[in-house]
Amino acid sequence: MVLSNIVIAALKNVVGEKWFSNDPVILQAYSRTRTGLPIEGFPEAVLLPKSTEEVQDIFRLANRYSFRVIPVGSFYFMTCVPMKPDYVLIDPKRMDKLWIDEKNMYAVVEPYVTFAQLQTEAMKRGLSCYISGAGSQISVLANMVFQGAGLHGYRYGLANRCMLALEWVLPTGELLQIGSITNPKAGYFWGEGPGPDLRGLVKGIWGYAGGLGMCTKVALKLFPWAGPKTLPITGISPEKLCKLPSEQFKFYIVKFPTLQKVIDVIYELGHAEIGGKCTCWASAWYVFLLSLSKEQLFDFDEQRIFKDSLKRTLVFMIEGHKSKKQVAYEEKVFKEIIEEYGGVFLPEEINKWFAERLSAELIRSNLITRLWRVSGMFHPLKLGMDTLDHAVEIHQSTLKMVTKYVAKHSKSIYNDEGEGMWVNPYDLAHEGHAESALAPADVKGQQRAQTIGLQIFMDDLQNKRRSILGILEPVIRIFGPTACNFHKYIYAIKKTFDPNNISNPPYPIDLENEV
Amino acid sequence: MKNIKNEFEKNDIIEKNLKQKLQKIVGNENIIDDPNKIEEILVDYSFFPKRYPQYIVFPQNLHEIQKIIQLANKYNIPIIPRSSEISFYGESLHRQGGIMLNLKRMNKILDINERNRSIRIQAGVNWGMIIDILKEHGLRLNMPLFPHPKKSVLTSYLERYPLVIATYEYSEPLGALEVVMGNGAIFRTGSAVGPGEPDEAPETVAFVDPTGPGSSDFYRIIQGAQGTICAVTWGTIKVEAIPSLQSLYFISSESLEILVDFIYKIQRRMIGYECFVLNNIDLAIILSQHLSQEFKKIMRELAPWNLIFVIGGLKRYPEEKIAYEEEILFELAKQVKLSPQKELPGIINANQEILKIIGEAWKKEPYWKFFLKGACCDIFFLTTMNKVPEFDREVRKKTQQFNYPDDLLGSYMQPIEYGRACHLEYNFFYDSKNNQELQHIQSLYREVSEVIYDLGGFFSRPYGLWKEMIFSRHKIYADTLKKTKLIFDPQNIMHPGHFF
Ligand SMILES: Cc1cc2nc3c(=O)[nH]c(=O)nc-3n(C[C@H](O)[C@H](O)[C@H](O)COP(=O)(O)OP(=O)(O)OC[C@H]3O[C@@H](n4cnc5c(N)ncnc54)[C@H](O)[C@@H]3O)c2cc1C
Repeated sequence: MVLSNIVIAALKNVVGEKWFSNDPVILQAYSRTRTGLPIEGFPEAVLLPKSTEEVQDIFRLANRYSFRVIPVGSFYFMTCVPMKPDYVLIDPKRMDKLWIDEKNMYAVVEPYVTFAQLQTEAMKRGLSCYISGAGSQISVLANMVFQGAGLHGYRYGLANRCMLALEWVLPTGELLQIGSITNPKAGYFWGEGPGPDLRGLVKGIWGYAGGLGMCTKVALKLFPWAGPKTLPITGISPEKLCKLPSEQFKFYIVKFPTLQKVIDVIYELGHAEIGGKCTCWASAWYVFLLSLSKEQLFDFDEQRIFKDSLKRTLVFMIEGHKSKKQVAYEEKVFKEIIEEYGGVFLPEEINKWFAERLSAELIRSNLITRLWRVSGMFHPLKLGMDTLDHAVEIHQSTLKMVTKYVAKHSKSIYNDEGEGMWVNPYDLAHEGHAESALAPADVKGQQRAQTIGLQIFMDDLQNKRRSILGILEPVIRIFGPTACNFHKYIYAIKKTFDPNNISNPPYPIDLENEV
Repeated sequence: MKNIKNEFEKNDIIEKNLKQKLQKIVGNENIIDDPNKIEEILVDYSFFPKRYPQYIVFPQNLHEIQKIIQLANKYNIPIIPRSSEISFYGESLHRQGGIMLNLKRMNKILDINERNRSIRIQAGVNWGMIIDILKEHGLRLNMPLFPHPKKSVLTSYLERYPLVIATYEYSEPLGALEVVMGNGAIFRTGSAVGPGEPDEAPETVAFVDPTGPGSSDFYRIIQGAQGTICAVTWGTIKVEAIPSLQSLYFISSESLEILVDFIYKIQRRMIGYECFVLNNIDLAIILSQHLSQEFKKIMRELAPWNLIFVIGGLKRYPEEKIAYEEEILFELAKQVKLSPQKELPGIINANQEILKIIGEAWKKEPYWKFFLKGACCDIFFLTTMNKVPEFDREVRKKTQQFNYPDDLLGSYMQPIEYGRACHLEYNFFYDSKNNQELQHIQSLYREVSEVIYDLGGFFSRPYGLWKEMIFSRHKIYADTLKKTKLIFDPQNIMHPGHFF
C-alpha cells in the first residue's frame, strides 16, 4: 500500500514538512542492513520527529490509517528493515538529548545518543557506562531496549541491569512511564516498580525489535571512573593507539593450553573480586580487530599471525578506581592466580604492543565494526547464557560441525578455523555468555551461514543444550513449544498492547499467524 | 427468589467439591479450614484489617500447586501464595477470602553451587534455615538488614527488600525462577525455560540467568507483583564468598548532611561491603537486645546518626586489601572531619556484636522492630541520598504535628549500588493494643506518606495505602499493569483486590 495523500499530509503535519521524506534516494539508505539474514525492503517514508509527543502522534495515526511503524536507533540490525509494504520508519536523529546526574551516577538519554557521546561526557565527570559489544557508534537506547551484551559485563552485567526509569510510547500512542518517573518529582534514578517491574514487559533477553512501540527516553546507571577525563588517544585512523596511565591500568593477554583453563581462571578471578575488564577471545578476534585493512586481514591469515599463537586467551585489565595500592594488590593476586593455573604471559614488549591497541577497546568498544571486515557482513550463530561452564559447552558442542562446514565453504565464508568465538563473564563470573559468529564473504555465504545456523540450532534443540537464538519470528515458533510455550505469552503481550498490529510486524512474533 | 436459592445451592456444591478436591490433591492433613487455626497461621504485623482465607493448603510440590491453581480457576476462587510464616505490610491478607497456598513445606535447598556462587531454593526456605548451611560452604547472601527468621528468603528478593551490601555493580541477586502462572501453566524464567525440564538440562547449567525467555523479562514482571501473577516454587539466587577477615567501623555524626556527603565519597571509591546508617533509636534497640545494656542509656550515648561500615578481605591477602581500603576510609573521613571508630563511646563490645549478627537473621525475641512497643509501622521509599536531609526534616516536622515522640522514631538509610540511590525507612513504634494509639499511627502513616510522595519519594513497593496513592495518580501505568496481569492470570484469581 502506498501512503495516501491524507496520511502524508497528516504525518507532515506532525513532524513538519522538512522532517518527512519519501524520496526514493533517501529511502534507499533505509532499505538494508548487513547482519544476519540478507533482508532488503523499502519503507514508504522516513520521519524525523523531535519529541515524544510527535512520536505518540505518529503511532496514533498509524492506528487510524493502518500503516506500520518501525522505530530505529542507528539502523544496525536487520529488524529495522521493513518486511512488507506500508511501513514508515522513525529515524530519531533529532531526539539526541543527554542529561547526566553526576552525583547520583545516572544518565538519561534520548534515542539518538550514542555510547561514544555518553561515555565521553561521563568520563569528564569521573564516571563511565556500560557499552554494547556492538560498538560505541550505536544508539545507547536502541541497544538497551533491544539486546545489551558487552565487554563491560564482568563488572557492569548485562544492559538489563543498567536500565533505570524509562518513557515508552505504546503502539496505541499512549505514554507509559516506568520506574521512579511515575512520581514526577522523583526523577529517573530508579527502574523497578511501582509494584511489578514493567521494564520486564518491554525488554527481555532481547527486546521486541520495535514490535511494541518506541522508547523515547531511558535512564541508565553510570559507574565510578578514576581514569583520565579523555582517553589519551594518538595516531590517525585506522591505527590509533592509547597509552593508559600505567599506575592505574594494567592490561594483560594470557595464553592457556585449553579453553576450559581460561574459564577456570575467570571463575577464580571473579571469586577474588579483582579486575575491571575480563573476557576470553579466540584468535579470529585478534585478526579482525588488529588488521588495518582487508588486505592486511588476509595477510595476517596467510602468515598465520595470531591464528596459531593466540588461540584461547584471557584478556584482563586491572582498573585503579580506588588507589595505587589497590592496583598493586590486584596485580599481586592476579599474577598468583595465573601462575596457579598455568597461564603464560606474553613477553612484556609484545604485551605492551597489544595494550596500546586493545586496552582502550575494552573501555570504549570502538573496533567492533571490524568484525565486518571481510565483506561487511556478520552472522551470529548462537549464544549461550547461563554459567561460564555452560557457555563453553555451548560453543564446543557443535564446533566440529561448524568448522567442517566453514572449511568446505571457505570461499564464501571466512575460514576462522573455529576461532570466531567470544566467551564473556558477567557479574564477576556469576554468569557467562558465549557467542559464535561467522563472517560471510558474500550473499551466498550469508545464505550458507544461515543454513548451518539453522542446523546447529536444531541440533542444540534436540539435545536440549539450552542455547538461545530462537526468540524472534520465525524460529520462535520452533523454540517456544519446547520452552514453556513462552512464545504464547509474547504473542499475547504483543496482541494486548498492539491490537492493530502496527508496530514493526512480524517482530517479535507474527500476529497474523496464530499460536 | 428461585434464582437466589439456586445460586446458594450451587455455591454449597462448589464448596463441598472444592474441599474434597483440595483434600485429594494435598491430603487430609494438609488442609485447614478451622477459622481459629487459620487465624493463628496468618500472622501479619501490619495494622490493616485482617482478612482471612477459607482454606489453607500446604502443597509439597510443583504439580500439587498446579492442580490447586487449576482448581481455583475452575471454581473462580481467589488464591494467595504465602512462603513466609509472617508478613509485615498486609501483603498476604485475603481481601476476597479464598485459598492460602502455604508453601511452608516447600523448604528444600535444591542446589548450592560454589563454582558459580549461586543457590537454588524453594520458596519456603526462610532466613532462619539458610545462613548456617551456606556458612559451611564459605558463602553468604547479600541480605536485608536483620531479617525475620521466618521470612522467606526468596520472597525477600521478590519483594525487593534493600540489601546491606552496597558494593557489586550488578546488585540484583535473583536468577531464574520456576512458577505456576495464574492460568495454571507451569513456567520457568531465564535460562530455566528449556528446552525440556530442569533435570534434563546439561550439568553445566545452574539456572543463574534471569533474563527472558524471549522479548520479555518475566522475572521482572513477577518481582514486586506480591503474588498477583503467579506462585513461585523455586528460584536461583547469587551468593558471595564470606570474607576471611573483616573490619567494622562506626562513623557517627550529629549531621545527616555530613554523613551523606561522606557516604557519597566512600562509595565513589568503591570500598567496603556492608554500609548503612541507623539513627540512635534503631541502633540502640539492636545493641540493647544483644549487649544486655539498657536501651535508653545506649540511645543517649549514641550520636543521632551512625554509619556502620564493614571492610572485608577474601581468601587472598585479606590484610592487604583491608589495609588499603582503611587508608582510603580515613583519608576521606579527614576531608569531612569525621572519625571512624572501632567502638562506640560508652558502649562495650558493640563492634564484636554487630559483626557477629550482621549477616544473620534476627535471633532474639521479640523481633527488633517490636522491642520497644510491641508493634512497628514502617514507612519506606527510594530516593537519592542528596535528598535525604530534606526528607528527614519534613518527615520529622510532620511527626511533630502528630506529637509523636522523637525518641520513638527509628530510622534506617540503606545506600544502594555505590550510593547511586538509597532506601530510606522510618520505623514508628506503637502499642497495637491501645486503640487510640493505633488510630493515631494510622493517620500519621497516611499523612507522612503523602508528604514523602509530594517531595518526590518513590514507593517502588506499594503496600497498604501506597497502592491507592500511586495507582490513582498513574492511570496508564495502572492500566498497563492490569492488562499485564490478565495475560498471566486471565480469571484474576491470584490475589484479587490487592492491586486490582
Ligand atoms: C556486528 C554486530 C555485532 C553485534 N554485537 C552485539 C553485542 O555484542 N551486544 C549487543 O547488545 N548487541 C549486538 N548486536 C545487535 C544489535 O545490532 C545491537 O544490539 C543494537 O541494537 C544496535 O543498535 P542500533 O542503534 O543500531 O539499533 P537498531 O538496529 O537501529 O535497532 C535495533 C532494534 O531495536 C528497535 N528499536 C530501535 N530503537 C527503538 C526504540 N527507540 N524503541 C523501541 N525499539 C527500538 C528497532 O526496531 C530494531 O528492531 C550486534 C550487531 C551487529 C551487526
